[in-house]
Amino acid sequence: MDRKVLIAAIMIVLMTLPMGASVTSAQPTGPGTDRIVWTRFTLDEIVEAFRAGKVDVYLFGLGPDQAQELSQTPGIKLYTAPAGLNDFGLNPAPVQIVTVNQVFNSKEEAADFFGVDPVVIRYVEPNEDAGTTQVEFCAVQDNLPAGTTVDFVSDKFNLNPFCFRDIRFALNYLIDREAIVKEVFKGFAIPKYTFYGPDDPVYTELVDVVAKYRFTYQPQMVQNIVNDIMTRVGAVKEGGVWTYKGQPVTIIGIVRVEDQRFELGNIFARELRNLGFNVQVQELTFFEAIFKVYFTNPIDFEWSFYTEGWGKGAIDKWDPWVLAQFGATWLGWAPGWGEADYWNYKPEIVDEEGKTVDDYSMATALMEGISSREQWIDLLRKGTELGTLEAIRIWVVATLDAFPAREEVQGITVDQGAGLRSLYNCRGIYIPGEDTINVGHLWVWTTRSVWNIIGGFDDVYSVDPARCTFDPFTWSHPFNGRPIPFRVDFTVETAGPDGTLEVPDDAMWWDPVADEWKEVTKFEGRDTAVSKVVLDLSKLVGSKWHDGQTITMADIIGYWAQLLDLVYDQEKSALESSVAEPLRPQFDQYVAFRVVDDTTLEVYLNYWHFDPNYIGQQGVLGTIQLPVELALFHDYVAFVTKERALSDTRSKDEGIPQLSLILSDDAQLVKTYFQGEFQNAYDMYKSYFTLPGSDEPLMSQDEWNARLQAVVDWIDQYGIAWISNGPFKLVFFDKDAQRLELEAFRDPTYPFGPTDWVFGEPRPTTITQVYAPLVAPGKDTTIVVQVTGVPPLYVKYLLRDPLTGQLVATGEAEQAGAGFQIVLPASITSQLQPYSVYELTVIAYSEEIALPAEKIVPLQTIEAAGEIIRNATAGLQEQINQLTEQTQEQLQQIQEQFTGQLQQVQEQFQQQLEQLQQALGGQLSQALQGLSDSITTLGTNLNEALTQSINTLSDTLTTSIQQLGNNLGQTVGDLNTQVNTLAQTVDNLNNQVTQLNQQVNTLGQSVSDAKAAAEAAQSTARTTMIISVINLIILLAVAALILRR
Amino acid sequence: MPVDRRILNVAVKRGVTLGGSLIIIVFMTAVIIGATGYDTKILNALIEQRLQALKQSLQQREGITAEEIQQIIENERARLREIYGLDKPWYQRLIPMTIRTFKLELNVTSDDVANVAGLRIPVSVGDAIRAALPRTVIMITVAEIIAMAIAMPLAPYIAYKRGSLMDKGVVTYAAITNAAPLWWLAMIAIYLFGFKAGVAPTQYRQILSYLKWDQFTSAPIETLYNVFYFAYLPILVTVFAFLGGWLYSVRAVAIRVVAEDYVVVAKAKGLPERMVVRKYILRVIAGPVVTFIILGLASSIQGFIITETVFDWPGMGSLYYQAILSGDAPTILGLIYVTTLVYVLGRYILELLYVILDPRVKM
Repeated sequence: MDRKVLIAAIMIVLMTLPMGASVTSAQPTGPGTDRIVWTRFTLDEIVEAFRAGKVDVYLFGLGPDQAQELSQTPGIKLYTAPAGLNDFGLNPAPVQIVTVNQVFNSKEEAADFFGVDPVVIRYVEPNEDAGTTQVEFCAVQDNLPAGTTVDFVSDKFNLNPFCFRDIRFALNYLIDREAIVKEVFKGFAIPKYTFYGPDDPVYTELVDVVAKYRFTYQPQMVQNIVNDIMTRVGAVKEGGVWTYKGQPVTIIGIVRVEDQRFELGNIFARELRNLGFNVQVQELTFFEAIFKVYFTNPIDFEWSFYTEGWGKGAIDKWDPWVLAQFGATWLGWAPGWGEADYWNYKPEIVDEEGKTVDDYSMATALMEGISSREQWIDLLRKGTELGTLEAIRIWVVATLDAFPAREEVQGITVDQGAGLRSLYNCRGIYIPGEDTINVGHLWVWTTRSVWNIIGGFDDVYSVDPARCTFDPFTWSHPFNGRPIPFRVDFTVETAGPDGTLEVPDDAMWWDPVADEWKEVTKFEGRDTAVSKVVLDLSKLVGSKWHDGQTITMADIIGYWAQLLDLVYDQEKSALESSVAEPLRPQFDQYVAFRVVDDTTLEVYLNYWHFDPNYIGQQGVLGTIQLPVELALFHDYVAFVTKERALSDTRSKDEGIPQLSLILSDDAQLVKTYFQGEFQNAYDMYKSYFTLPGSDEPLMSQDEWNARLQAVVDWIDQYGIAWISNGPFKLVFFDKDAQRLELEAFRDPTYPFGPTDWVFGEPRPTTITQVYAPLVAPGKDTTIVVQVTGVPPLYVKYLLRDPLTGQLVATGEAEQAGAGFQIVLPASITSQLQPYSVYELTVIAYSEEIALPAEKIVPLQTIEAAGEIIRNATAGLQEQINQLTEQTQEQLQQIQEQFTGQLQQVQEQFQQQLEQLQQALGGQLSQALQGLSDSITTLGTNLNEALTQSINTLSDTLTTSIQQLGNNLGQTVGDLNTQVNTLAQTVDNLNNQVTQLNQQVNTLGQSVSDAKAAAEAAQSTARTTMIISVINLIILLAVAALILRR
Repeated sequence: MPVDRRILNVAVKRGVTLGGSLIIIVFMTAVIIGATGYDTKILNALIEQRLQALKQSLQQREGITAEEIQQIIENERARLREIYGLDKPWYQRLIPMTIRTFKLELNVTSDDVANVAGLRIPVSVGDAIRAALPRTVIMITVAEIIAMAIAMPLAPYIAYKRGSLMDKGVVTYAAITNAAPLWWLAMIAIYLFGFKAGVAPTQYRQILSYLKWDQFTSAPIETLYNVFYFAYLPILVTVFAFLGGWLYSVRAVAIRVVAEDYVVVAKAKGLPERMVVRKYILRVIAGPVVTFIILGLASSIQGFIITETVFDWPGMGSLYYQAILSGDAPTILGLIYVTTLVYVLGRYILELLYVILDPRVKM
């Protein structure tokens, strides 16, 4: 029995051994690589540094020239991400502003009064109460009716061409964006047709709105529009230059000299000169340019256009601020810049609903009256269209930053916003066989690189490495910008936008006067909230800080109390106003917090968004990056000892340094305090992590002291006071040497492994095929679109008459099986002219990936196409017939040869059989030998014949198909020559070729069949032979028996 | 007039004149900067750029109204204008600014300037200059001294051997180094010795880690070694570039003396070559050569903008450049004050030396 137990035990151990092995060989916690060495490399040296193998990844985006140089270097791969935007900002100011004692509600009414063409009036602003109207003119009017008061008339220009909205809008067609991308930006840019573009995730919802205008390079069209308007206004073209009242119509172009905008500005100036304007270009640096454009009143006409450039921030799935900033005026980014003393641009276009771009922009940005995603998108689409039509900026490109990395680097996530700078990358990257990654950046430390969690992290050089050291509670998806849970999971409950939820009585809120958490019932107006976010902290609480201390709820509650105190404590918020003031509006949305258990925290807030992930993200008051004792040290030195500032504004104001925990001076300061008086600060700060109604703080004095000692030990070891909870520990920093080192944090309590945050490259949405048949006007037509990408996928279309530019139809395709179908009903096709080509723009996009795909195909009406295709395919049909005949001949030959061979076999066999019968007895062996030889010869002949036949057939087929291909190419060429726009015909010809291929395949199949038949015949012959031999043997055996007997 | 009295008289007169010039130069610079609105424009632009960034970051936050954003921006604008002194007209800032310039008390206003110094803000102009000056001295002044030390004994000898192969070689060498920019030679040197041969560093900014007094006192040998490691290539390149010019100019001065009768007579008398060069040439050209040396050393502290950039060597040239680019009036004034002061001191010493060395000179 004991033996059996022992055996059973051994068996169990043996069985569990592999399990143990699998546990020990499981994915380790922490990042992909063991160490990252972060060093400064200037842009001048980076190319050589890569060639010399000194750097593996470079995190500062390269400009087009360097990117192009590195793109030709073997072993280097470039990753691109949108970096900025370039546009031409236009000055639309009027040259004359007058007031009349009448109320006009439209330009036409005012034009009638003044006896001018309505086009000359930019804007009318009636004042019903005063019974007056202010009228803005784009060209100075001399003979004004009596009773008109001139409020302003420019002494510089008497006509401003950019005041005319039609001219401004037409300038969209004066930019050859494709050529600019290729020539100026060497391919490292994306054409941009309006403020939203493929670099914005929400563009997928707007792409058809933008595509509607199809801003291609059409200078003649622009010239026509300019001619029309200038003539109507009364301008005259003399010697190729427009003049108005004897003065040349002048444009002042402010062109920045530092980058590609220099070339852009000069290209634009050249095009404007070609239109007949007198263009004066001023090539200026940043300081000079910004002063002229943003510090002068637009009606002073210090500038007419300016080569604007904008940096691009993180991508945001539902971003309304691009419209607010670049298309609308209410936020103060339109000419006039919201300055009360300046003339300010006001939107000119009012849609059929009586709304302007500002109305739509404010609604989407501030979520005013929004109750659903569909409604928000609808308003954003309307705002985008109006903003595009206002044309106060002409968009050119979204520039791309190129981030180089060695090809060996694995685990990369190509973030559509941050590129390789994304926090996902330091978590995932590694080089097989190497334990260190050498990261280069333009700087490792600058005076702005301040590592403090309240007022620091104001530059990429501190933000980028810091993000490798801590895990945010939530983050944005790298491909679509949607908020996603990161270290903390969340669930959302909302009654919004209009309803409210009850806040439980045991929830709490911070009292900045008493400096303690109190039950929410002790505050007024905190009994209801629009939404509730439940934070699951189980991946955070219980895991370790880098110094080995355990993360507890005290770290979270204590830090949040510190933030609330900073914002709502009057003294603190006054001292650090540049930090506290911007936080206040956001913090005002929070109603209460409730600690449910050790790992669950409820957040009640007055915030609603149609996307619940946004509410979840908003539920995080602040991500903890430091243990609470180091976080509270910020408070201590800023407001108690006042030795350090948190913000740089206060630092400059008071002349005290800004706290930065990676600098050795400040690390020593931390150490000094942590070994001394800060131990007593426990009494001051314990209320920050004590729940209301409880006498027990969430952290004891002993734990506090132990934590302070752990920090002191850390500083002794590394000389830095930055301790966090993410995949890397910061273990070395030298600001003068411009170098820092990160070491993998592989504590077993750390929840993530090396591949958990590797997203790879986004799979772009691609339109693989658009099958557009010939359209018979008046009949339903179905166009099949094949799309690949990350589902869910959507397809939209626009049908346009290329001659007039008019849109015939727009709509959304229906999903049908594996593809999409665009159904053009008879009601639409009946609008199409026969013998015509239309332009079908197909746009496919994925909800998950920011970049949509666009394809333009011609749509041919049937009559015109029918004849051409018939002519074109006549020759093809002949070829097909010839090929078919040749193939049939070959097959016939094979069959004949094979039949001949078969007959020969049969005859030979018969002969042999006869000989055998005749010679049965003494000549038996000779007969058998002869039979055997015959069979061999027969087989050889048969094979040779068959091989020859098949080779011949194959050659014939090849030649025929080549001829066919040549003829087809010729035919297609002819077609292209005959009808350039009929590219669709090629698709149909391709279809013919497909059919032809099918026929050829059929022929091939016939050949295979013939071969199989021949083989079968051979097999039959062999079988017959074998049976004959067996019969012979039997006969011999019978003969032998007879003879023996 | 006794010699001592004469020297004292000259010292006082020249001291007053040069000191007055220094004050006037600094004051006039402050007037030019203020009256043209140069710094005001740039500081306003900087503030607006910063506010634009703040505005954009505020927009990213959910649920903030436009009015709240505007209010925050206005408050921050007012505060920044006060910090940068833009809340007062320039003429009210003029006198206090000039006085504080002489004390080097003013703080640099631009983060980019502080960044060249490599110091955390707030950074006084004095601290910035104290940080940048030793770097320039180590690279350029040291190189200048080495070049001078080589050229001083060699150039008169070459002049003495005028027309020889060595003379022709030096003239050619001087022509080449005069034509080839120093920064270009620096790029070539980094490429060849740093990236290709691997015998020199490729990142020179790391020298800042070793240019620290406490580091030197705690580990002098190691610190000196590291300073030498990072400095030797920039110094060598600079010496290579400077030497041609020094040789040529000292030779040019010496050539005139070589043709003098007394040198010819000395040679004819069969005096040793070394004696002729030392006593009959070098001694005579000492005056102008000392002028070269002192003014050369004084100007060397201004640094070289492009070469410093190529070596990523944040010295006085970079500080000058960044201060002008950023419209950092306190730093511009401080730099003009310090470089003018050094020049004035050099000139003062020079003029006293003239008086001491040459009794014929009267001031």
